[in-house]
Amino acid sequence: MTTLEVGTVDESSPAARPGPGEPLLEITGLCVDYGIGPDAVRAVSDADLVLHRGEVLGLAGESGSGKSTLAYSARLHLDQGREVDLLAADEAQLRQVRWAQVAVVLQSAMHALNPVFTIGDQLGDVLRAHRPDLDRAARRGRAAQLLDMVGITADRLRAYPHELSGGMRQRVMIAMALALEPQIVIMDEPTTALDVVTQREILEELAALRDRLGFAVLFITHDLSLLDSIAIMYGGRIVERAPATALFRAPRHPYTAGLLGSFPSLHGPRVHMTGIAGSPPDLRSMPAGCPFHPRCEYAMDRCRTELPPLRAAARDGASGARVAACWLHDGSAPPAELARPEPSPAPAVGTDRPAAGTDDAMAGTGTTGGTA
Amino acid sequence: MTTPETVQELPGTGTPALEARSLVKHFPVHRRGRRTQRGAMVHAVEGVSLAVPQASITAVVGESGCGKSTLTQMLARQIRPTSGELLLNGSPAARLGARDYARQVQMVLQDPFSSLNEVHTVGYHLARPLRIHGPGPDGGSLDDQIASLLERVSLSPQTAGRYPHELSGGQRQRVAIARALAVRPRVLLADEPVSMLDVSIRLGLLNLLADLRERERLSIVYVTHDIASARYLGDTIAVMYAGQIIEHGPAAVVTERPQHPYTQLLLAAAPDPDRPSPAPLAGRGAPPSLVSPPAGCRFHPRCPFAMPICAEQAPPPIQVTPGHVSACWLHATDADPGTPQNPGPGPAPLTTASRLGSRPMRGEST
Repeated sequence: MTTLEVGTVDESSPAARPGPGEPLLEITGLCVDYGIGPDAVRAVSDADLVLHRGEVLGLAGESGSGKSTLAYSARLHLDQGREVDLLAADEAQLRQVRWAQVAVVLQSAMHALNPVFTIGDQLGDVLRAHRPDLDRAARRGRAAQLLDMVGITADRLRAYPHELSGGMRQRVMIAMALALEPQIVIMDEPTTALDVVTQREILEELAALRDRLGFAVLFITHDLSLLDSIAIMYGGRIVERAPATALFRAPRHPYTAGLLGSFPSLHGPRVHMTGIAGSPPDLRSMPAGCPFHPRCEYAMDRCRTELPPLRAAARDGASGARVAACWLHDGSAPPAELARPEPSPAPAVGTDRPAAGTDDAMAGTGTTGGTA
Repeated sequence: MTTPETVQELPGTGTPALEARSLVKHFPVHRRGRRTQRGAMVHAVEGVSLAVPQASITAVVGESGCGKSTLTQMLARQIRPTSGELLLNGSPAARLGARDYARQVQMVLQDPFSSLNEVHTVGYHLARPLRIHGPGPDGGSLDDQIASLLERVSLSPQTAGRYPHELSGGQRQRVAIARALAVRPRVLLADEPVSMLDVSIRLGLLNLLADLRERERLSIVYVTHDIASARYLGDTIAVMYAGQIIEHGPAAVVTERPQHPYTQLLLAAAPDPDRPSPAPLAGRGAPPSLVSPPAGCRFHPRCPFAMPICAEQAPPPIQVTPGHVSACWLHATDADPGTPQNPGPGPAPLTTASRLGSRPMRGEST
């Protein structure tokens, strides 16, 4: 069964932050195919995801893992329309939801703005389509207010996109997405094309806006520092979902551990790291069983034939806060690397390191030798 | 913990494999097909001196537009410097013809999806440099040499018969590296070689470059925007800003105890889930226009520590510790008696002690 629901608009004050509010978007058993018949490629398989009010949920994974497809199908640009709610909604109903409640910020701000219209025209266009009650002057005022919100002066309303820097264009995109005060903002790697300093500035502004306006964010990213929780995708499936700090300190899925071990650390001794052997799977010929088993150093016979379900590891209890799709957590003792204790909920700043010997995943899956 | 031993990690002080002296590149500004304002120039690279020691990896780090690719292209002699000098093994490179230079200095490009010809097999790509530059001293048939090249980059000999579209991005980049190795160069210039690849396979490529340095004593210039990977792979790191190298030193020292305010900013902005909370950014803003760069230090309009002298005079490279130089007036002892020798209040979030936390030490080999 496939369902996709957007919570009703609550006009009262946004739920207190931080902490998860009530569910805002629920995705259950979502599958997305590209193409039809025998040529169809299943880009997303059986995805379950819940986005709560005010939450920042990250979707991480390699190219082709289906993270963008999942995010965009949540925005219903892909029509798998079958049963209830959004997927069953007709075009008129969807118009009510799109942008006004679910807005998107695209990856490439360079190409997402129309080069022949000014920034003011493009912001005004959104308002004209969705807010017929506003007259021209009111639209202008609102557009100026939106630009001010993202730190751009109102005189840039007359500017064309080519007159703005990459960072400013991305800020305009964010302002545009927030124009109708949506409940959910989907961000598809909104800062990858920008310099690191600009990236950090924009992410900080986003966090401040989120705190002020209380929208929820579905964030496709590799930067784990901003997120409340993360879903890791591999081969079109969600393979692990957990609160951000728990996932980072104590990964449960071997792919998550490998992904964390693929980013060299900025401090500590330099150690040899291995990344993950092999390459991501071809969606046209997915391996049987667990999609990760050909690259997994812990693969067992069972992994080659049976698809592991997404569920809580035995040691984590069934609170539902974190789940992983891996047979290693089914009864038998998982390898130490994947069985770290959960970090304490309120880590002391600077001293929240796990004890010596359990630190390896942070520096890499392999810790043999040195690179120096 | 990173001081004296790490500095001695620096490769030998013999003749550098490749040395740039005061390289300058100005591009004339064109508009609508003709030059506007007489003499308007993009000052892309300004007075860069860089020595690439034998059998070592020099990482060049900078953001887009800082001139790192222009520098690489000058090192590859693909574009001619406005002024400055290149030395190959201590002798002026200008004496060498293009082919002789290419035999010693090879380049690996960023995008493995467009740097290989789709209509030719991998074998063809590797045979061409072997034919043009002649086979190696160990002789052997062309096929044997192709197989051995593929083996050096951890690809199976059967790959020779495949076409680029049959290979993954990581395999393609290995082919591109094998192609560069075919002429047995002394220096490899790698311009963002992993930025187009999937995250999980990047390390495999970086480890291959580290192996080539180790096994074949190749000198490598690794150009990247990612300071974490520069720290991982590089023996030394040179940080570029607005066309100039503003800090250069052993990789671990530059990242643990950055001296230049821009390097500190770059490190504070880098994504780092290890940090309990994001570091504050000191020196927000954007790089200056390179058509009319600011007078004095090019970072001074953004610099939180800027002093009067910074706007007037460009700081020379100043040695902070042996082998570690930073182009910043804050390190000049005679610049201003009231100035701390190291930028005092700013780098607090970046000091070694606070960032390392209680991370357990693992022995660093070497």
